[in-house]
Formats: sequence, C-alpha cells, structure tokens
Amino acid sequence: MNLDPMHVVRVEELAPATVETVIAQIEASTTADHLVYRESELDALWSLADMAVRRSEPGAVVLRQLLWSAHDLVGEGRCHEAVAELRRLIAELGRREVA
Amino acid sequence: MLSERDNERLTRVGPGTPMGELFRRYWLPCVLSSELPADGPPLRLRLLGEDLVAFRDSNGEVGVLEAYCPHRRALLFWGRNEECGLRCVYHGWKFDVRGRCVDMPSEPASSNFKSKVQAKAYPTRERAGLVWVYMGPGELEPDFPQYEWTLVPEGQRVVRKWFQDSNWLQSLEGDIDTAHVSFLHRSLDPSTPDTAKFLPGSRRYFALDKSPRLTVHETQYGFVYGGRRTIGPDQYYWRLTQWLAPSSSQTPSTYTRNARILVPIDDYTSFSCGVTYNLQRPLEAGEGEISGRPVRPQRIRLRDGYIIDGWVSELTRDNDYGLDREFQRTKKFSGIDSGPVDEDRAMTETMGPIVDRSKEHLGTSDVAIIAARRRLLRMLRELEQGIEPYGPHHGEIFAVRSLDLISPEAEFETLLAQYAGDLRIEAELTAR
Repeated sequence: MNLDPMHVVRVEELAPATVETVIAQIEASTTADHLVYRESELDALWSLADMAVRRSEPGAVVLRQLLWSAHDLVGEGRCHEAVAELRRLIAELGRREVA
Repeated sequence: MLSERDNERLTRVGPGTPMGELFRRYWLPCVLSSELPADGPPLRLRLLGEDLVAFRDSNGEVGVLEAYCPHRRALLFWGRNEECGLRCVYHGWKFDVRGRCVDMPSEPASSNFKSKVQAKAYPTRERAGLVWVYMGPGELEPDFPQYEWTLVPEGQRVVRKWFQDSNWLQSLEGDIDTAHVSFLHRSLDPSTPDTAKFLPGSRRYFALDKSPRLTVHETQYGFVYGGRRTIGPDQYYWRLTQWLAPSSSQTPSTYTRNARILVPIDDYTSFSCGVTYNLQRPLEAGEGEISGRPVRPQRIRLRDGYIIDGWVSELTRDNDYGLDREFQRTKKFSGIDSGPVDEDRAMTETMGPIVDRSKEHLGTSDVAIIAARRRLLRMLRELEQGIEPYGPHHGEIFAVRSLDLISPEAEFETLLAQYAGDLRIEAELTAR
C-alpha cells in the first residue's frame, strides 16, 4: 500500500478496500497540504455515494452522510473522528454486501 | 463539495459575517485612480455590501464615504464636489474626505451642530493606479501588501477593472484552476499563435496533457500550487500559480505578467481588478489590453435596484457572451469569439449568483480549490476566536511571482526548492 501522503489515492469504487486505503492515508498525513489530498479522495468517495443516492440505491443516503461527515472532519483537521466515521462506513458497506 | 453552512460562511460578505470580517482586515482596491479627477464627479460604489461614494477633493485626496448623507439620508452621489469637500445638494451639508462635516448652511450660524456630525468614512491609499480602501477596525489598519505589480514603475503596468455578475468566490476559483485552460481557453485552429506571455509551445502543451497533476504547497500568504503537464519522456510543463489570501491570484507567465484581485461588491456580485505588467520594460501598445472584449464605464443596476458605477464588457448573459456555434465547431473550444476573461465570466456568472457547492462533484484537478476553501474556513474560525490573520500585518509576504517552465523534475517540492529564488521578488524591487 502506498503511504505517501502526497499521493492521491485513485478512487474508482465505493468499496471497503478503497476506504481502508484512504484511512491509511489519513493516518499518514501530517500537514494541511496532506489533508487537502485526503479531502479530494473523500470528495471522490462522496461523489460515488451521491450517484448511488441519485439511483435510489437502498442505504446510500447513510453512506453519503457518513462520507460528508468524514469529509468535513478532515477539512477541520479532526482526523481521528474522520477515521471513526470511515470505520462506520466500512461496516455499512459490509452490511450491504451481506444483504 | 462543501456543506451549505460552509458555503454561506465563505460567500456572505456583509458587515458582521465571518467572510465580511476577514475581508475587512485587508486593503481592497475600489476604483481606478484615473476615474477620479480632482473636483470631478463622485462615483457610486458598493463594497462588501456597504453603499459608498468615492470622490477626489481639490487637493487631490480621495474620500470614500458612506453613500447616504447623515442628515436625511440623501445620496451623496448627487453632491457637488467643490472646494475640498462633497456637498449634499439636498440641504447643503458638506463633508471632507475624512467624513467631517465642514459646512452646515441649513443650521443657524451660531450652531455647533456641524462639529458633532460625522459621515462614515474609510481610510484610503493610492498605489499602482488604484484607490485602495480599508474598511476594518481602525486600530488594526494593515500594512500595504507588496504585490509585485504594485512595485513596478508606472508605464510597466496597466490595471483594468470589470464587473463580475456573481459572488466573488466562484470567480476566484476559476483563477486557481489550471485544468480548465486545456478546455475553455483552447483554440482549435492550429495557426493560432502561442500566447505571448507564456513559454513558446504552451498552447501545444495544454493540448498534450489535459489532466495536469496538481500539488499544493501552503505558505504564509496562501499557497502556491504546481500544475504538472507531461509533454515528453521526463519532460514536464509546470505552471506555478499563487493564491494570496483572501482573493488575489497570480497566473503563471514568463514574460509579460498577470495578476488579479477579486473584490466583493455584495453577496451576489463582485469586480475583478486585472493587472498586466512587465518587470523589465514599459508595456507595448496592446499589451495591457484586457484578454477579452473591451470594458466600458457604465451604470450597473444591482439585484436590489441600487445603482453603482463600474466597467462592463459588451459580452454578457443577455447576449450569450457572443456564443457562435460555427466558431465553436471550427475555431475555439468555447465558441466565444473573445479572450479568457469573457470565457471565464460565461462559466462563472451563469452558475448562478452563489453556486450551490453542496451539489458539486470535485476531481483530483480541483485540489487547489479545496485548499483555498479550507484555508479560508480556517482563517474564519481563527478570526472568530480572536486570532488575527497573519497577512495584513506582514505586507512583505505578498512579494512573490508566478512561473511557467519546462523541467525534467517531476516532484513539486523539489522543483520549488530549485526555483525558490525565482518565486520571491528580488530584494531591490521590494525596496522600491
């Protein structure tokens, strides 16, 4: 896993593995510059969730809300809280897979 | 994307709003010096949601006063600018550039009432062909920002201003978005010459790599970001752009240079001050022209009916900014037969007066926009906590310049270290 915080994770699907990668990047980030890239990654994840909401996928609203929250927390430098939201997101994604 | 709450915080600029208070910590350009001849007609302004009138007195000093006479609230715009003051034509009360009432002929000669009456007035300075105003707390009057373009001799700089029919932020965000250059400003005509101020070949580089990799480096003044376009094996076209908080940007150029400041008129409108300058020589004929259709002085009716005096392009939403579909098919990607200024306005003005950023879907080429928003939100939070912004009292930090260059260096931080001297202004220029 690339843990260079200057590297922007390629976000192509709203999947637990992608979110885990973003979490690892958040935990490796130490500067305001780094957090800009993290916010960009969360923007991309949020966009995927928003598209799912537009398609009326069940549970997508919750995913989007968690990403919105994580996005704003990263923006404010509250990384631990953002990671907690993303862990909840992974759990939600897991529940969707089971369902 | 941005939450509705954060969007409101960044875009509302009236007195008492977070962003309005931040803007009120800086010197802001308000009119061109040339617009105000001594004893000439006053101009109607609105800045940060406040209605104002600007005039130059018989001694050449500029006053920026609240637009309404403190007596019965008549517009001072109707006033007579004569003998070192602006006299309200309703009852003859007269105010000097500092807002002091110097004559009150409608009251008995024995009355001392005039010494008690004061029109609200803001401090002004003149620099680089512009009148600047400071609208914040008197005890916090800032240093003057040493933008490079304010330091070059007259004749090596042209300043223009033009009306922007949208909130200030969406226009600024266009100025720090290098990715759109490969599309909105692209010529489809291979015979189109390169833009003279950029590196030779730049037009080809924009077309070769349409998804530049962006890297942001935060600084005391705001940030510098690098847009890296791959133009060959181990060869990159780098564009290094500065954003200088709160609303100035310097787009990259190698020769004749450009800078811009956005000034909010109110929540829904703004104006741009665009600067063209050259460090080495006077500008040649045409070099200082706006990169779009000419702008002309005009009365502008704002959304609430208030009228200001400004400069307006002939291309507006009312004529679809001159859009020509055949021209779009054959000559320019945008279809607008004009320059970047008008193309930019067509995009940013028609998003709506305040774009709803909760509906955006940003990509990796938007990191500079994300960085600016976050930095501004942080500054707003700090100001609310009583922490003043750093820039207003450190005018020297604004003395930076943008660059475009070709380099085999792929890493932005390494490139920044290599060109640190080029990004700072020479000491002798700063000393002027």
